[in-house]
Amino acid sequence: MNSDPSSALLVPGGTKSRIGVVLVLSLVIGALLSDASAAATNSTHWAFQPLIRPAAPASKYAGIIDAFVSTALARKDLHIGEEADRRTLIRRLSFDLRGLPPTPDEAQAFLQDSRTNAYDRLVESFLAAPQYGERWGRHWLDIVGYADSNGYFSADSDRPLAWKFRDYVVRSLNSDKPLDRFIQEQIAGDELVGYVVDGDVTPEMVDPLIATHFWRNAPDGSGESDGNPLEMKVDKYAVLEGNVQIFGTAFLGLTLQCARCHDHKFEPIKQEEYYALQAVLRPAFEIDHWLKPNERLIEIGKRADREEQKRRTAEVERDLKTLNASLEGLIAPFRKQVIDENLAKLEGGLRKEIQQALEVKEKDRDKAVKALLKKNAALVEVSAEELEKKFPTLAAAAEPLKHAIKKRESEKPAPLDQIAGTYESGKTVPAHHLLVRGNHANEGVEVPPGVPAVFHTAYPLRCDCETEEDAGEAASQVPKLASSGRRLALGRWATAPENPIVARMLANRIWNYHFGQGLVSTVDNLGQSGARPASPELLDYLATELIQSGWSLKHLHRLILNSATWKQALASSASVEVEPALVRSEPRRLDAESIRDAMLSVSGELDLASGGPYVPTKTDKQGQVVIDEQQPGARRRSIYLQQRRTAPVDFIGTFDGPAHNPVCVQRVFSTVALQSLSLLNSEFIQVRARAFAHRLLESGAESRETDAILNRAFELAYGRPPTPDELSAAEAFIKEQNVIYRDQKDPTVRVWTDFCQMLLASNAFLYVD
Amino acid sequence: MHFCMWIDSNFSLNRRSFLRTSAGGLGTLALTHLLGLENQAAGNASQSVSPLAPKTPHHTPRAKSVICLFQHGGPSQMDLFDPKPELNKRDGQDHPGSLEIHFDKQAGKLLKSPFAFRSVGQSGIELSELLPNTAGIADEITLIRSMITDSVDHESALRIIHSGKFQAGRPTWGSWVIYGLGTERQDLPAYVVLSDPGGLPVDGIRNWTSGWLPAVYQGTQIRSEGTPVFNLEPLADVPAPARENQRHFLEALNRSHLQSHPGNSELMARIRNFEIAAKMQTSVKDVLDLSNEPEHVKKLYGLDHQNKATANYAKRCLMARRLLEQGVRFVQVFLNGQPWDTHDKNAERLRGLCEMTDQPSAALVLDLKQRGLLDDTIVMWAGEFGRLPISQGKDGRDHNRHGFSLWLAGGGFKKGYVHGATDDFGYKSVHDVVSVYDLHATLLHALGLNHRKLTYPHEGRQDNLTDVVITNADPIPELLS
Repeated sequence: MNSDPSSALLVPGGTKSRIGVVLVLSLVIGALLSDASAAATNSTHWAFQPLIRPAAPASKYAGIIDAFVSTALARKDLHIGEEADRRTLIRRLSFDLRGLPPTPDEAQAFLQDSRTNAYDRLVESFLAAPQYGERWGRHWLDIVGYADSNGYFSADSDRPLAWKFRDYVVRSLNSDKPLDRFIQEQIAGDELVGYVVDGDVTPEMVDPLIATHFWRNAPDGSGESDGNPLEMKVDKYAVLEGNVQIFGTAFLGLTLQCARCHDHKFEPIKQEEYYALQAVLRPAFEIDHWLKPNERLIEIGKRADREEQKRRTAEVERDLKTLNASLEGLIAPFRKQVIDENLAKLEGGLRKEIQQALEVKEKDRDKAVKALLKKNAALVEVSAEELEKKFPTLAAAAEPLKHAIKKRESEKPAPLDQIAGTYESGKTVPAHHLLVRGNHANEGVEVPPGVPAVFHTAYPLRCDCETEEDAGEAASQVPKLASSGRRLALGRWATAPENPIVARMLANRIWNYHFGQGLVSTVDNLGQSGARPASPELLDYLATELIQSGWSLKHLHRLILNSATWKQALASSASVEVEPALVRSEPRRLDAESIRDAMLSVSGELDLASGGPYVPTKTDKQGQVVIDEQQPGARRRSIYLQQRRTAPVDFIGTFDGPAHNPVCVQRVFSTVALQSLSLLNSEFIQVRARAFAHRLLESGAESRETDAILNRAFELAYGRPPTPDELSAAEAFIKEQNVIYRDQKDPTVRVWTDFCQMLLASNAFLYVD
Repeated sequence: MHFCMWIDSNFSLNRRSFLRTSAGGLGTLALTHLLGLENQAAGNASQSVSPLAPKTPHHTPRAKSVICLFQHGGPSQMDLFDPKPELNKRDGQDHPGSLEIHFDKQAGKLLKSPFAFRSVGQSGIELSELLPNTAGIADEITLIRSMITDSVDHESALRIIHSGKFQAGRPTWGSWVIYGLGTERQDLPAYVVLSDPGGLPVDGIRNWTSGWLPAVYQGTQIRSEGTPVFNLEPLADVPAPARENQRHFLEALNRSHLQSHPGNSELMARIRNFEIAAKMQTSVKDVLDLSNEPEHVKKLYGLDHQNKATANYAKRCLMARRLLEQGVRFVQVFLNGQPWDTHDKNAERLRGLCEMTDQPSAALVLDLKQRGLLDDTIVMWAGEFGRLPISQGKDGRDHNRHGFSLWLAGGGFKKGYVHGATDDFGYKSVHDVVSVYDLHATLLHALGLNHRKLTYPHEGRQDNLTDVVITNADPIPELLS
């Protein structure tokens, strides 16, 4: 495998190089991980213990999840509830896997499917839908703190290429890319594919390189930072700090920030260990040779091809310059003639003044000159078109030149495609120091790269050449370093089967997204200060199952979605008091994006186009951040809307959209009156309601019975026909609105718009059982 | 995050999310909060306990509410509040000691204040000639001349003074106050932000974020021009009777849905929120309708001022008083951008800034006093840091975190009192130094809250505004009468 730099270095004799010694890091970590008796840690905390697959308890349930759950529930005199009916199941499943409601056709097909595997088939079809990756990709983007803006200062400048990472995530989840590979690519995709700065970027390298945008998600104000050197240093360190925070909450299940200034007071993390993690990133984020966000770019293509492209572009541009100059030379005398004629009408003083002003080269013109020319623009600004019209000889002479320009322009190569990724310059591997009390002006001892000792590894890690080799001598023997290999080692460490924490974190989050409650309720904190798991055996079963399945997320989905635990109907609220993680008792409100997407889906407007640059937001005249209804892509799924950290779309924010500071570890679900105002009075819901009404009234529905339209409306919005109460309320409402709008324009549409809006504002639409 | 989150009695935090966030040990308030929800779940749902219900403070409070007039950018203490004869005498000379300088390449010599100071009021506090109206309330204020903070970077310093640490994403002190005290008026937001119609201040909506406290504790922006709250106005082409029918129909749908989820408090809260939303259309407008304010009051604030910026700021100060009168707990008035950041033309720009803020700020204190509201209201006039005694470039002043001034009025703070002092040049606080953290502890103390006890479970521990382990924050009793 030549694409793997560390394995390439296994050749004898390579071990004296810096990279070779870094290889020792991976080996050391690997050796320690596999040594179950590693004495390095003295923590007895459950989450740090080796992951051992627990034996399933005897149970009447065939499924192992249910066996664990029913055993845990039995201890508290509870049991798994009855299976929900099919209408409830398909709506629950559709929102869970796709973030969208089922269509009435899908619901009907499922209701009528008498095959024994009807439910399995439904799960498979939703897992195979492209919308699955968008839904679960959104969860991952929360975890890693994705945003389309740099978000450090108020300027909150743009991240024009971040969308490639978003699309990579969606693509990876849709293809069920093994999560170990998915994680390794994000941590060290550049090192996995052996990227060398300015080297070849072949098509196979593109996705892993895009994945390294993972380390670009943290707020980064270094592009806007000014002030003194210390302040700029603080802004650069903020990127390292944000990244360590994201890494900690995403993969270690620990909040590490406390250890930035002092040893962690609640977890077994020393301050040095915090900086050891920073040191892993340091070669990619060189404080002394800093790359601002818009300089940290990778060009796609083979090096030779890119150089050729640049050469050809330069050539074309040079030719165009010459051609344009010739054209201008041709036009100039005619223009002068016209201007002179224009100026001849003026009195001498002013004429002279303007003539002198025109003689000043454009770049040398000062304010006064510019103002004078602007004031007399009608006299001195003569376009080429006007001149050609006036002088046919000019037009004839210019024609071949213009043709040549156009032709040459068409020969200009397409601009190079770029990636906002993470990579090392390969020039130096800087020493990293602890900051005394977190003070950026006070560097303390040098800290080698490493991971916290509590995870069954030795501390400090022996990982850099300094420990065994003479650094200077070793470095001088290596003509050019690809990279330090530190992140690659970290990625391998994170996804080693012996690593207990990452698989537990993932299993817990997956459970959390399926049930609205993690097996460990503090999903970002599996540490000593976090909650205890509701069923430690179940969590470990899921974690080992994830690893043994080849890190297949879809495998875990199938296990969970096929469990009686997931399929149970809402239970009495008494049982949730006892065991909130294992029973279903409360309806779940749709998250912000699902509300918006579901409204668009029900109204028939949803644009399912996938991927590409974000749909830009704008600030309306009220000051509200919205998507302009006229904007192309305005009806696309919410994951594709621009996500500025300081200016989230108000509709999404009102319904508890993610707050990335820097990550959104856990969505909250609030119930506040501002949401009611939005459901009653926002332009967004009004436009959806009108479209929904038109959808109902389409296809000759004018002649249809009210009840038939009502039935379809409820099927679309609630996934079921109306109850008798709902039906009579709806009929009465339609009658009343008919009276009000009787003498107005488009009465039918207005009546049904009012009706549709209320369906979209109602709890049966906003909640899933 | 919520750009603008309404706060009302019928909020209900999803129980599960609450249980999730509170697993790591509970502070007293969090426990009360949890017990409230437990009661609710235990079948007392019709009287669901709101996280915004008025709460009993830790000790007898001096103040019930707060109006913060925030002055983004770092007002220049030696030109406004802190006279320095020695600085004036040595104008143009080198500063004798070392200075922490932000824009070090432009550092100049000592720069005297061109403004005269005079003793004002019974108390004889010395104030700059730029503040004739503040002079009129000198006997009402506590002027702190010895403030310090930990950053000379605007954003970091803003986060420190608003939320106790330089990191983004922590709850602002307004959120802590609402979390600790709740609110007495349920159909108005408890924490209102009156932002400048010209635009948001530097660091934007983070200035009033609830961070990791529940979103109900977040500041709600009310605009002084146009629609005060987003989506408050009903849709124009739906006539009132049609809207009335809609609400009844919606309620019927939701009641029917509730029957299949009996006793679910969140669903019930959502039903009631629609009633509240309808009421808000009048309650918010009433509070902000200035047409019934007597002319002399408008004049006092400066609503008739020829300078539009002054009239605008005056309007927000008057709106702040009206909100407070109606039971809003915490009001913050903000300016656009960071106008006090006088890196150049310091003197000239200070003239304009004082013309804008001096009269309305003082009027607010006078008006509250006349109405008997000042005793239990804290008015705070503050920026995030101060400025240096040396010049930046020709005529500007650079950031300074080692010394700055601010004033407080009402709410138990001493009247006509000067606290602390800076060195001879106004660079460094040297006597009775007050850190921003001490100020926070003191403000909470005045509101009846113990800064050590006002905690919320976050990242596995009981976190709070002042984080004593790091900041050594302590209330300063000398500031209170």
